[in-house]
Amino acid sequence: MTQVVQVPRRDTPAVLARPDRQLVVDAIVAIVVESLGAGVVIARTASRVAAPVSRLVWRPPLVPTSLQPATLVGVLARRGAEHRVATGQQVGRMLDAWTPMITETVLARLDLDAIIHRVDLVAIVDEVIAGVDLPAIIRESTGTMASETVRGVRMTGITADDAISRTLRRPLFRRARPAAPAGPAAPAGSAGPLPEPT
Amino acid sequence: MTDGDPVVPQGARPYQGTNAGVATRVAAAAIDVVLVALGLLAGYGGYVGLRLLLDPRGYRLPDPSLAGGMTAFFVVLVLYLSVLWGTTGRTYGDHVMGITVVGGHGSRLGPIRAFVRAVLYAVFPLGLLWCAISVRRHSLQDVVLRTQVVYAWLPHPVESHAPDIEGWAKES
Repeated sequence: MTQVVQVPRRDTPAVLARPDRQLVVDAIVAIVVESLGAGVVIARTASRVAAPVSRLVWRPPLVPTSLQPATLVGVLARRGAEHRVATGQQVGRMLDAWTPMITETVLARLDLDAIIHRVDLVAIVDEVIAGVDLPAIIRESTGTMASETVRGVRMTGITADDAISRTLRRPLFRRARPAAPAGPAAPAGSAGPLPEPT
Repeated sequence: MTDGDPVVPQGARPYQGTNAGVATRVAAAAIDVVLVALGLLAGYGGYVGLRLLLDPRGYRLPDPSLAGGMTAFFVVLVLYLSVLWGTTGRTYGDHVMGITVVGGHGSRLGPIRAFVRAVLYAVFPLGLLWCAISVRRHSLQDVVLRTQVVYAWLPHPVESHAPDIEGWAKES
């Protein structure tokens, strides 16, 4: 005779249960992805198979072009587009006409002063000013301006240096040997490529 | 004065480490002279104010002589130039114009060479103009002391200009 022995039940900790749940989620994801892939393949095949049929339906032979479904649908679409544009313009005109009137009526019934008095404008302004780091903005803009100015002054100096070098040395060293090609380390007008005095 | 963005603009990069020309150097020197003059004026104003505070009744406006003023200017200028050239390699004017004074191999000037250079500049400032016609853009003081002034927009240590200068020297 078989005896049934009661075995103490072991609690499944969350850590052990997690892989099962993960497995289920992965399986669902796989099913969805595979289904989508299969759907795409089926749709593509169906479209390829149905293309001649669809062509036959839209452009049936022995039917005048003006009476073919494709032509009729095209005409309908064109008319629909015209209606859409006309309706949009009409709605725009109506809004232009009605909006000011409605707004004026609503505003006439509102006591704006009372609304403003109920709002703590000072608190709002304080909050806005606290949110905007004005000193940082001023500091940043001033610093940028200063560095831009310094950069401009330095570039002007370099340009003037080159201009002076060219102007003064050309007549002085007119019979000098040809200048070496200017490279990045020896910019035009700098001491590098200029000829030695003869 | 800050350098702001530490990136040197594209147009100025080829010039870094090459010898600075006369316009930049004269502008830097002018800034330094104005700065020293303003410092002297401020010092004089402070001295007058202090005397007024200490003895309001017996106060009389001091009447400085021209020779005294020139001497004070000379001393302050030499101190200013020698200390800054000997330590950072650049005065405030040099900093504004983006140039640095270095030794022959791009090394920093020693205190003695910086002092002698400052004295020579204070005694004969026209020697600076020699760099306008010098092939190497050297002033008379540079020729005597084997120093040079290079474009260095970034205020990194003057030793770092040495490769640039050597590279430039090889190419030229």
